This record gives sequence, C-alpha cells and structure tokens, in this order.
Amino acid sequence: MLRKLNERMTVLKKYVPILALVILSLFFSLLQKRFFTFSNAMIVLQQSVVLICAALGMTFVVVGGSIDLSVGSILALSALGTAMASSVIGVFAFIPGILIGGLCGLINGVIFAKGKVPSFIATMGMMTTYRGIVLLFTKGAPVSINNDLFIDIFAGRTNGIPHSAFFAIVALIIAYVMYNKTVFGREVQAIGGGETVARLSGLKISSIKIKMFIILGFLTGLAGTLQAGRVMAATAQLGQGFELDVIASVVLGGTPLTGGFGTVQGTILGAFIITILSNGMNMIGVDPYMQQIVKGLVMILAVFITIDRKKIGLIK
Amino acid sequence: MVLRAENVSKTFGQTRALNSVSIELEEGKVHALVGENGAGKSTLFKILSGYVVKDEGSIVYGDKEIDPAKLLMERNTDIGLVHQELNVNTSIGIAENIFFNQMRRFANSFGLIKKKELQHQAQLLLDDIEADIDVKKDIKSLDLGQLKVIQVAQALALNPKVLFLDESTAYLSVTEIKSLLKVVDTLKARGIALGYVSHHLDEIEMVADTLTILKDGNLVTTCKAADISRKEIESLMVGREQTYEFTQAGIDYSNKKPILELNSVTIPRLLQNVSLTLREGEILGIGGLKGAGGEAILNTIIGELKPSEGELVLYGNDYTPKGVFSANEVGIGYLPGNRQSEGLITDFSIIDNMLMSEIPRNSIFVDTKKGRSIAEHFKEYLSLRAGSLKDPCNSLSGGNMQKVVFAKCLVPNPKILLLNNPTRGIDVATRFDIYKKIHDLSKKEGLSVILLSEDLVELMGMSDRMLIFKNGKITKEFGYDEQPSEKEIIAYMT
Repeated sequence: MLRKLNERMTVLKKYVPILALVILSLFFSLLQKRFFTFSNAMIVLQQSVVLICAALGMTFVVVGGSIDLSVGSILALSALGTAMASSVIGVFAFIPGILIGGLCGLINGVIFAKGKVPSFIATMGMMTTYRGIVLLFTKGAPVSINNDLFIDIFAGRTNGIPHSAFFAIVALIIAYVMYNKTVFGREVQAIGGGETVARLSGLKISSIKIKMFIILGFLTGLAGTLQAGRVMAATAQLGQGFELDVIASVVLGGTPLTGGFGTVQGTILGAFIITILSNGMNMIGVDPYMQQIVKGLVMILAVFITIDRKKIGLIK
Repeated sequence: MVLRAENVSKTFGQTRALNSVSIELEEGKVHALVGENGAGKSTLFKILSGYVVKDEGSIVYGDKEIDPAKLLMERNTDIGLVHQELNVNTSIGIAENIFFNQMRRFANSFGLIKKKELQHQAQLLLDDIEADIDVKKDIKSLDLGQLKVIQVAQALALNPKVLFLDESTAYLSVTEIKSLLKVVDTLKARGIALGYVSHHLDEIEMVADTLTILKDGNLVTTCKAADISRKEIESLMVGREQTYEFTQAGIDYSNKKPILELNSVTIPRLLQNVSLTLREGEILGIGGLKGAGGEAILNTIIGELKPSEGELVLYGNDYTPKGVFSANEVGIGYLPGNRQSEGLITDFSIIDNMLMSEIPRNSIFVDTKKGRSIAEHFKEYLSLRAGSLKDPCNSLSGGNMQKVVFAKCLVPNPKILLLNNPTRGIDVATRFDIYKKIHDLSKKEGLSVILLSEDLVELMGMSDRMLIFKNGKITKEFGYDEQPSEKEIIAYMT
C-alpha cells in the first residue's frame, strides 16, 4: 500500500516540471493577453538561453552531488573577457569567453576534488574572488562591445528568432549526449548516487569531479558570451544572483540536490519555468521586490519536493 | 526474576535472527549468552533494551508485560545496554561522557554547568565500581579498556536495574579485561541483573551464573554455568547441520609462483610489521576479530590505506596502489564488507551497479548492447533471482544484492580477488552458491583469492591456507596440510 503510494509519488514527481510550466503559462495568459504571443515567446526564449546554458552545466555538478555557487561571477568574468577581446579579435571573442569559464571551472574543481574543500564553501569563496577580478579590471565601469558583427551573430534575430537559441540548442545536444550516452555521464551519476561505492568500484573520483566543474565552466563561459552580446557590454554587476536561478532551474527540473539522479531535459523545463516566472511577473506588473520574494520561495519549494531525505546527512 | 523474554522472534529481511527464544534474568546474577556470529545474541539484547523491536513474543519486567522500545523513548532507564561499539566521545571530558544525557542535573540557575559537582559525582561513580580513573584526566590519555569502563559508567549513571554488556571485552587486552570483570563483580554485588555476551569462554566461566547457548537464532540450551563444561559449550554452539560440502582439496601451493607480496608492512595502530605472500590459484584465508588487522590488509592492497613502512610487490614488481581504480587496472578486484553502504548504490538499477567497475565502452560512449549481454551473462552465471536488470537493487533480497556486488567484482575479470566477508548476513542457499563460485574460479581458472572472514566455518572450509591476526600482527599461519579446529583458531585470535 505504502509502496504503491510511493511509486505513484515518483511518477507524479516526474511530471511536476511540465505541469508547473503549463499551469504557470495558463495563469499568465489569463491575466495578460500579450503573454501568449509569438513575440513574447521569442523574448522568453532569448531571456532563457543564458540560463539554459549554465543550468545544463549545473546539472552535471548537482547530479554529481556537488554545487557551484560561483556561476554568476564566472558569467561576469567570461563576459568581461569577451567584451575586452571583441575590440581586438571581433567575432572570435567568444573563444576567450568560453576558455575563461573553463579555467574558472578547473580551479573550482581542483580546490574541491584535490583540496577536499566542500564544494559549497570552495565555490562560495571563488564567487567573491572571481567577482573581485571583474571589479579590479573594470573599476566598476562597463566595458562595451562595439563590434557589430559580434552583436549580430550572438544577439541578433532572423525572422524574429534569436540567434542565441541556436547556441543553446547546440549546448543542449552536447549535454544530452554527454549525460546519457557517455561513460563520463554514468560516472557522474554514480558519484552522486554513492561516492563511497563509486570509489570502491574503481572510479577516479577526483578527475571526474574536476571534469564536471570544467564542463559547467565552459557552458557558463558560453552563457557569459551570449549575455555580453545581449547587453552589448560587460558590467561589474552582471550575473549577480544568477547562481540562484541556475540552481533553481536544475532543481525545478527534478534533479534532487542530493545528487545521483536527474535529466537534462528536466533542466530545460526548469529554466523555462524560472524565465516565465520572471517574464510573466514583469508583464502583469508585480513589484520587482515582490518578485525576489516569490523566486526565493519557489527555489525552496523545489528543493522541498525533490530532495532525497534518506541522504540528507550528506548535503554540502 | 527481574526480566523475562518469552518466545521472542525477530526476522531481518529474509534472515530469521531469533526464533522463539526465552530467557530469564535474575537480580544479582550474570546471565551469559554464547554463540557464534549471527547466532542472535546482540539482537536479543537490543530487543530487551528497546533498540530493536521484536516481531513476536512478550517481555515481562517485574510482574508486568512491557515494551522496551517505548520505555527507551520515555527515558525510563531501568534497562540499560552497553553497546558493542565504543561510543565514548573523546572531544568532551570524562565526567561529561558519564553524565552525557543528564547534564541538566548539573545546571545552576543560569543554565551553566556546575563543573565541580559534575566531576565529583562522576568520580564517586567510578570509585564505586572500583575503576582506577581520575575524571580530571584528559580523556585522550585513556586506553581502550578504560574507555570501555567509561562507557559502562555512562550506563550505570542512569541507575539501571538490568544491564546488558554486549562484547564489552572484544578489543581489550588481558589486563584491561581483568579490570572490566572486576567492575562486573561489583555490579553483581549491588544486585543488578546482568546480561553478558562475549566470545571469550574463559571470561564466561569466570563471571556467568547462568548460561544460554544460541545457534542460528535458536535457543540450544539454558543451564547453570557450573553444570556445563567448556567442551560441552563449544560443541553445542558450533554443532550444526553441515549442508555445504567444502571440498578439502588439500592442494599444496607452496611451489606456485607468488603473485602478491607484502613485505614488513606497518601502519601505525593498525598493522605491525606484517609480511604475507599470495600464491597463484590459492585461497588465502585471513581470520581475526574485528579490528585485528584483516581489513587493514585489504585496504592496503587496494590503496585506501598507505603503509608508513614496508612495501607491496605484485608479479615481482613494486606496487604502489593509489586507490581501487589503480588496483583494478592491475587486475585486483575488491568486494567490500558492507554491501549497503560500500558495495551497491541501492537505488540504482542492477545493471548499472554490475557494470560500475568497468562500464563497457566504445571510445567515450557507453556500449549499451555489450553491457546488457555482460549483465545477462552474470545474471545467469550467478543464478541471480531478479525480474528485470533495470530494477533497482533495493528490490532484491540481501543474498541477491550480494550476488550483484560479486558480479561487479568479476566483470573486469580480475586475477586477484579480495573478499571482505563475502557472505555476511545472507541466507544459506545464496551462501553456498557464492562458495561454489569462489571455489571454481580459484581451482579451475587460477584466480588468487584473499578471503577475510569473521565466519570461522567459512574461513576453515574455503581457505587453502590461513593467517590469523591479532592486534595488527599475524599470530599464526595454518599451512596447506593443516586442519585446525575452531578452538585452536580462536586461541590465536584472542
């Protein structure tokens, strides 16, 4: 009896993200006519791509049983690298942007996996450090991007469809294949499911952990590049509070913070839920301060629903 | 009569841990339980003290039926248990440990602890049981025996009428045991009803008034300790229906080439100058009490522990393992001792667990087809009783879970297999399945096996040669031609 109920709960949990998305869309459509239109859909799409890229990377880290709080700062640092390079190498400025992200991920991964500092603390420290580097370089002033071709490629639109969506789709395909089809994907799941078991089965724990942080770094670097293109500049405040949106996307997508399970497609839904929540609240005119309150509560609710309480002693 | 258990039964999963067992404890008397590992001694004590809930039967205290678990919840402290595991907290003081869950008694009106009063009371308690310990001493300076006395004192601080001591002397040295037994005598004189479990029969002879022998969860007999000889006890606790015929091949492997050698390996507090050689195709048994050094040997070979002195040699070359992954690379497989926390991710599927050590791959991608055929092969080879390979492991019985762990170790096709209690807590049929496979792999395919086991029958039956450990040292080697009795083996363990 109890088991049946449990099974039913598991099935139900699977549909929570899609249900939430549908209900949320219906809700905003009823309140605001302009919400359910092609142009607004494209706005939502453009707003969500940055979040999607980083959240895809975060899926690996969270499934692997860790967390990265520094993504907002990595986003800002990558965007800064992109903006500064754009005046020299133009379109190819996305390369340093992505590489900076990867490097930040490598540093996080090494501190966490080799230095054995809990990822929560390691990345909280690095969040401030990376942000400090951004401030040091910008002195607080924005660095603008003047290369038109760069802006057109990364932030332009064709037939109303934002180009950035293309990059998000590429990121999605890579993340999906990596998560579901590669040995690495299985290893990440095993570490999140039970690190001791994984270690005693012969998995190279540190190297896998470092790799998952590097992947998150690369994808956040891509997100930073797209974000820089969208605002046509890198600012010191870029991506503040971004980590909350990213982690919330992953968790709303059904990946428990305790790790071991999760899906890439769920994360996409989670990112849309977060974006639509912001977009819809803006459209119906919710006070921005009020929006913050709602977002924080939604995040807690998502964790409350998905977390595996048997493993609660392990949360870091 | 103070406390009486009537027809108490308990089942864990598929194992009948206790089968309608009845015992009585009397004021000022020691009732000892004897039996092998898994006989049900600890379970019975835990049921009587409320840490485990019985399935059937009744428990009578004084003249009324009680529910010990409920009493424990209500903080009724009439019945106490000194746990087998050492649970003294060495980061707080001795007195704080003794009055651990009643610190409120020593609070002044500001809520602060009256330290002098606390220490005074603790000292009185220790003096009362004639333990020679100064509560003001640094707890880290105490030896294991003294810590165990602290643990007993902690139980006494709650003023129990009935007290159970579960393997309290297991890790103690002879002098430490003596001081603990003195404490037991003092408690007896005070009229406390005592339950006592120990593997040391000479201790039982010294302290027990009444004695109950348990075997595989069944009560064999209860009698006055004076009426039974040690020989009789031994034969009663061991005597069993031997349904598995261990093939005593008696093969001499001393001419076979050594595969793995440990030379004078020392790890502070765990191993002292241990040397051993594993030869091709043999099953080398390692016996000893928990913590005697067997686990440390396996952990050294897989690289979980680093020797501070000494070296490892594999196929004649230096071998410095960095972890299980590097052991796997050179053909060493490891079966961990705890399948729930070390062997399996129980909410992952059977196939994912089986393939965890070596995921079949096609460059960076998972080769699902090959993985499936490997898993199917092992499912059949080990006659795993499971519906679909995609089912989660927690849907399996303990024995079948163990088969999955065993399969996981065999998937990479190891040349050396390290087994840490491979049949702990599983049903007889599965146990025999696993014995047969280990035997065949070793004798027919030349797999070299190190078998660490707390189950003496298993150890004696499976091993070609045995090393007995005590306190981090090898105390005895039983060669290929020797057939020692359980008693002889136990003598070297304790």
